[in-house]
Amino acid sequence: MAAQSKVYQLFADKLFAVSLKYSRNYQDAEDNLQDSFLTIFDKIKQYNHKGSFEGWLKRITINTALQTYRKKAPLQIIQEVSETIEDEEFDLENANFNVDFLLECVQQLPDQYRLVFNLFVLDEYSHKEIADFLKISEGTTKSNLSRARKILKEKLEIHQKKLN
Amino acid sequence: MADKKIDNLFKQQLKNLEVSPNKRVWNSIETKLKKKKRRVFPFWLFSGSVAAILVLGLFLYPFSSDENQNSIPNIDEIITTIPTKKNPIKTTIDTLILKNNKVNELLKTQQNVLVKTKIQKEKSIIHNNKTAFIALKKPVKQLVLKHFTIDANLTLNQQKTNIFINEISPKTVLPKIDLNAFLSSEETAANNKVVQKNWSVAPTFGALQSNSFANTSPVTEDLANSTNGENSFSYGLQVGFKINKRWTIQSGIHLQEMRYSNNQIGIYPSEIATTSSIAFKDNTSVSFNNTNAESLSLRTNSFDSFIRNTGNLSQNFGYIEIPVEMKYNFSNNKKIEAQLVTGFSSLFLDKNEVILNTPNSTRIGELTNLNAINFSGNLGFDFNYFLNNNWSLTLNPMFKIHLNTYNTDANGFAPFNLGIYSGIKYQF
Repeated sequence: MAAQSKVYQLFADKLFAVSLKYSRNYQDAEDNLQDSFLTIFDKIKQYNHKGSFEGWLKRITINTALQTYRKKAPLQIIQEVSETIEDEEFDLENANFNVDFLLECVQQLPDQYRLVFNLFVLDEYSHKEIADFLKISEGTTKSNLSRARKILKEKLEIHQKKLN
Repeated sequence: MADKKIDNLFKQQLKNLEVSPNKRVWNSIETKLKKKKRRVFPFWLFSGSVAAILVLGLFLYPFSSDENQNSIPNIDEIITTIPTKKNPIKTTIDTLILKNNKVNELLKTQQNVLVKTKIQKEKSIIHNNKTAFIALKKPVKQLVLKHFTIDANLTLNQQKTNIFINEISPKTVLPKIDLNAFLSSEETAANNKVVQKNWSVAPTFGALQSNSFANTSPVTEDLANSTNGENSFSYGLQVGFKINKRWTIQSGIHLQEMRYSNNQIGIYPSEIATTSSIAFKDNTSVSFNNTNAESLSLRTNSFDSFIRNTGNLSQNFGYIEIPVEMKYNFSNNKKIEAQLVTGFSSLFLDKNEVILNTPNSTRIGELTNLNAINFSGNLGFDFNYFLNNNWSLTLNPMFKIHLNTYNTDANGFAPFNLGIYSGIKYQF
């Protein structure tokens, strides 16, 4: 138990952040973190010391989230973004969005969009890999990604306007 | 362009994010881990299934190792990856293949990213002069390893973190070994020899004492209270496979004898169909009675024309025993190993002999109500005294309860035996 506790202490913060990014909300992220650690402790003997330990932990955490939301995905109604939004360039670089807001934006994405966005942008998987994980076509991952970006952009703009 | 900006914004803010989870998450993990430890797996189920695997393993073992060495996949490119079945992500996450050199510089500018470039030339190796096997890697491919450094300031205990890095990081960049070279190298072969001391063979001999839980006789109910278990023997070969330090699974083949006797019983010929379960070879019917029971005199009076005798009945049964047993080593001594043994045996009836000795004659017959196949549940200990690395002496007291021995209820006769087996074990 002491060894598990140490592993948890060392990596919980990082893995919880991963869980937050891949989950719908805080509660789901806590569940995801818990399930991930139970899997980790269950399979720790299978870790073969090739590749970084943290990478291994992170993969399990991501996989746990994928398993959760991949199952639920077909039931979700995806809200289409209006295509007519004006494409004026607005200044993202100088805008000061705080982390909580950005995290919230990601969490509010429809499940599959969120997974694709996270995998591609934050964890740098290729479309092919993502298509394999989610058991969808590469075309779908690409369209999901661009829709995800669109939704995020829209949210950022609305937020920006509110502040101004 | 806008896409890149959005991506970068989220990357900057969220990529290396760390958030402390609420303490309740750990509490709930802890309780679940404790619960899991307490759950006891039904032992017999475990031993039974592993036993089946061992028997299969015994047959498959020599063949499978042969195949592995000779078959080489016939493809151009071999990527050695970590063998995982459940987690397909594992092999790909940390490697990113890039085709453009410029990306290196781009990545170098980002924090926490360590870029290593490896260019491997074409290699061709001919294996065994027969199978041409080419390990080919395209020179344009680059391996970019992202090294996740653990930020010591972020953790509670800096010292622990350091230890961790020492353990993990040297192993992250293992040189890839050519598969063929590895397989054919003497080092591997030598290693295998040292590791594989899992099998053991032991010729054993055991002294058995047979008995029954019920004080009845399987022959006829008239012989209740007079059946005694006799000493007999068992010999055979025991084969074991050591799964790990604690668990061993064993099987083998033994010849086992069980003997019972009824001494000083009353015997008289019977013309009506006999109630006993003995079929004598001369087709005569015989009835038995306990001479020590007073009722006998009454019976002889009413059938005075019958000749009555006093004699001894002995039953000898031989079985071919195939046990499948699990052994748990509970000692930590290297010289003496003490193991708890449990399992079951399949018993195939090999000898079925009933001998009736009277002062005048000897008759041989057999019991008609024995099953050709029956089972026993086994429990006992196994003590090994190691003479050297290969040889050890074993002493193995066992208690075996026989099940399904008779195809009738056999007057409730429930045989068991106590045996002390000994042998010399050879491990290889």
